[in-house]
Amino acid sequence: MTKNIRIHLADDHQIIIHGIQTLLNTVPNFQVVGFSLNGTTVFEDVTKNKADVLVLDISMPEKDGIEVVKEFAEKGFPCRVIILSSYDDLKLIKEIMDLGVTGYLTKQCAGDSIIEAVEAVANGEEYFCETIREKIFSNATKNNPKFNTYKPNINPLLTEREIEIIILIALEYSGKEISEQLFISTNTVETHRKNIMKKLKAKNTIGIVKYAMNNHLIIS
Amino acid sequence: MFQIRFRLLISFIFLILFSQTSSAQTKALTNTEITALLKDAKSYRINGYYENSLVKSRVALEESIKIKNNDLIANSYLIIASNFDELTEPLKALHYYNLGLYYVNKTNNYALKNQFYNNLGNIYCFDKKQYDKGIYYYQKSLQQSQKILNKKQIFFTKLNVTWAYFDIGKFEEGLPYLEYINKYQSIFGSESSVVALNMLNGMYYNYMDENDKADFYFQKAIELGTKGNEKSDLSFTHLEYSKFLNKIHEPQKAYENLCLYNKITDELHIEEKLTKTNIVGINLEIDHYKREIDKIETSYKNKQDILIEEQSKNKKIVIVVLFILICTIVSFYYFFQNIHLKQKNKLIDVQSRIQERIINASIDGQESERKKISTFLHDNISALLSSAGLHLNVFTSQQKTQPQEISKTKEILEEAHKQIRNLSHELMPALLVRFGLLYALEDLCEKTSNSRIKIAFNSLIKIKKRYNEDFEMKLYFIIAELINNIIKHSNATHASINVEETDTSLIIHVTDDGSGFKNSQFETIEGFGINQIRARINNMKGEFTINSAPNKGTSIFLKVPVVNYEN
Repeated sequence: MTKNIRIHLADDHQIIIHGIQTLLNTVPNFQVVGFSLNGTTVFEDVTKNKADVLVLDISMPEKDGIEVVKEFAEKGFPCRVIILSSYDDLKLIKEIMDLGVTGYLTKQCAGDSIIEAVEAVANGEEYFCETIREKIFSNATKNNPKFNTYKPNINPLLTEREIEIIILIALEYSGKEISEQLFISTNTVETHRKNIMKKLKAKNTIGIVKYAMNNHLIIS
Repeated sequence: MFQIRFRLLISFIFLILFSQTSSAQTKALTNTEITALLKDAKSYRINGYYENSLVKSRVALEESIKIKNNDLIANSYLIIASNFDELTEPLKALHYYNLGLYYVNKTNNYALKNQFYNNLGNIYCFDKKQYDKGIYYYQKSLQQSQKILNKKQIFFTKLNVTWAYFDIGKFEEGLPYLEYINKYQSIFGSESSVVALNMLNGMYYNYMDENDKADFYFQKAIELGTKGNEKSDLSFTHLEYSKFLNKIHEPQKAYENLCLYNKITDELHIEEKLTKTNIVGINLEIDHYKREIDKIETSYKNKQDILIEEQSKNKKIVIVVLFILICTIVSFYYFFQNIHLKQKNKLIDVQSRIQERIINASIDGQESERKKISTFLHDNISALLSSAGLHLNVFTSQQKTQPQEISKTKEILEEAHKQIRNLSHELMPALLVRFGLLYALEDLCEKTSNSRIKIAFNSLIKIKKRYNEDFEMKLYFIIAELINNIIKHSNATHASINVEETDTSLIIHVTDDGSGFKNSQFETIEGFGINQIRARINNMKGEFTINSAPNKGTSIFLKVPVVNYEN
C-alpha cells in the first residue's frame, strides 16, 4: 500500500485548478488537500495543510510563482514543488530550478504528465515534462559537433533521459556539468548513471562510453 | 532702425536740393550779353582803348565765371592778355594767356585755342626769346588751325615759325615753312607779310651763300617796307641786310643799313614810349584791374574748390546713402529669406513632430494591444485549453480503452495550445515580463545567435535589475528591431550589444561588422524602421546616433533617461 500523496494547487485560474483536481483525483493515492488562487497565501496554506507536493503556476496576480519559490527558499521548503506554467523558457526554468524546485511542466503537457510528475517528485526525483527535457538536452548539445542528432533507441530498457545522460557522458561531460546542463542535481545524475550501468551491465563509465560509440549515439 | 535710416536719407536729399538752390545766388548775365561785352572789349582793344577794353573784359570774365562757360572765360582771358600784349607787358600777358589756356583746353573751340597758342608763340619768340618754347606753341597753333582749316592762319603761323627758326640759325628746319609761305603768299599774304617774306628769303639765301638772290630779296623787302607801314619788319630787314652786306664785305652799305635800322627802331621806340607814357597814367589803374581780375579768379577758384568739395561731399554722401540702401535691401532680403526658411523649417519640424507623434501613438497603441492580447491569450485562452486538456485526460483515464477521436482531439488541443503560447510569447516575451529587460535581451541575443551570426551581450548592470515596465518594453522592442535589421540587412557575422548605466541614463551600444551603409542613406532606407526608432527614442527624450560606412559595419548609440521601477 503506497502512501497517500497530499497535493496543494496554486493557480489564479479556477478552471485549471478544477481540471487538475479532477485529473489528480483519478489516482487513488493522490489527495488534493487545498488550493490557492494567488501567491500570497501559498506558504501559509501549504504549511497548514502539510501538503507533500505543491503544483504552482508562475503567473499569478499580486505574488507570482517565482516570488513564492523565493519565499520557500528563504524560509525552507515545506514541501516539494512542481511548476506548472505555460512558460518554457530555459533561462526561466534554470532560474527556478536553481531555487530548489524539483519538477517543471508546461501547461500543454499537464494532462499527460502531471500524474507522473507528482509521483516522481513525491519520490524525491526530479521531473521535467518531455518537451522541456528535450529542449534542455538539445540546448546542452547544440554546440557540440560530436553530437549525433540521429537517436536510435536501441535498448528498450533505457529511458530517454538515461540515453541523454549516456550521450553526455560519452561527450566527456562530468557529473557536475551534466547536472548543470540538464538542470538536475548531481545526485540525480549519479542515480541515473548507476541505473544505466545496471541496465547495460557495464562495470564502469567506460562501458557506457563504449555503448554510446557502438550504437552511434555520438560521432566517433 | 529702418525709420532712422529713412529719415537720414530724406534729410540728405533736402541737403542736396538746398545746396543747389543756394548756389544759384544773384542773377547772372546771359551768354549773349557776355558775348556782346567781349565784342565791345575787342573793338576797344583794336582801337587802342585798352583801359576800356580791360574794364569790359573784366566784367565779362566775372560773369562768364558765374555761368561757368569755359569758352567765354577763355575768350575774356584772351582779350585781357592781348590788351597787356599791346601794352607791351609781356609778362602780364603771358600770365593771362596761361590762365586762359587752362579754360580753353576744356573746350572744343579750335579757333580760340589756335589764337592762344599763336600769341603764346609770339611772346616766347619775340619777347622772351625762348625760341624752342615759342616754336612748340606755334606747332600747337598749327595743329588747331589745321583742324578748322584756317589756311590764312596757317600761313601766318608758318611765317612766324620760319622767322623763329631762321633767328636761331636753324635754316634747314625753317625751309619747308619758307617754301609753304612762298607758295601761298599770293593767296593769303598781305602787305605786312610780304616784307617779312622777302626778308626771310633774303636770310635764307644769305645762309645758302647765294648772294645775288639774297641781295635781290633784301632790296625788295626794303623797297616794299619803305613803301608800306610795316616799320618793324622793315627795321629788322635793315638789320639782316646790314649783316649780309657786312658778310660780303660792303661795310659802307652795311653801315648805312644799320643806321637805318637804328633810326627806324628809335622811331618805333619813341612811338612805343609815347604809348607807354600814355599808358603810365592808366598803369596804376591797370594794376588795379589786374588785382581785380586775380581776385575774381581766386574767389572763383575758392568757390569752385568749395563747390568741388561740396560735390565730392555730396558724392560721398550719395555713395554712403546708396551703400546703406543696398545694405538695407540686402539685409532685408536675407532677413525675409531667413524668416521664410525658418517658417519652412518650422513647418517641416512641426510635420516631423506630428509624424513622430503618429508613429509613437501607433507604436504605443501597438504595445498596449500586444500586452492586452498576450495577457488575454495567456491568462484566458491558454488556461481554458489547459483545462479542456486536463478534463479530456480525466475522461481517458477513466476509460479502459482510448477512443481514437479522443486522442485526436487531445492532439489538436495541444497544437492549439502550443500555437497560442508561441503567439503570446512573440507578442510579449515571458522573460521580459518576469525577469526584465537585461535578462530578455541576453536571451534574445542567445536565441538569435546561430551558425551565421554571433550576437554577444555585455552588460555592466546587474542582470536582474528592473526598470519601469513600459520603459523596458519599449527598449526591448527597439533593440529587437535593431537586431532584426542586423540579421536581415547587414550580412554581419558578429554583432554585440553593450549596455551600461549612468546616474540617469541607460546607454546601449549596438554594433555589427556587416556591410554598413552611407550615413546619408539610412534616413531614406525604408523598412529599416529607423524613423520609427528615432521617433520612439525622441519620445523618451533620449539620443539616437547611427554611424556607418560601406563595408565598415554599423554602430548605433542609444542613450535614454532611466525610468525606474515602481512597485
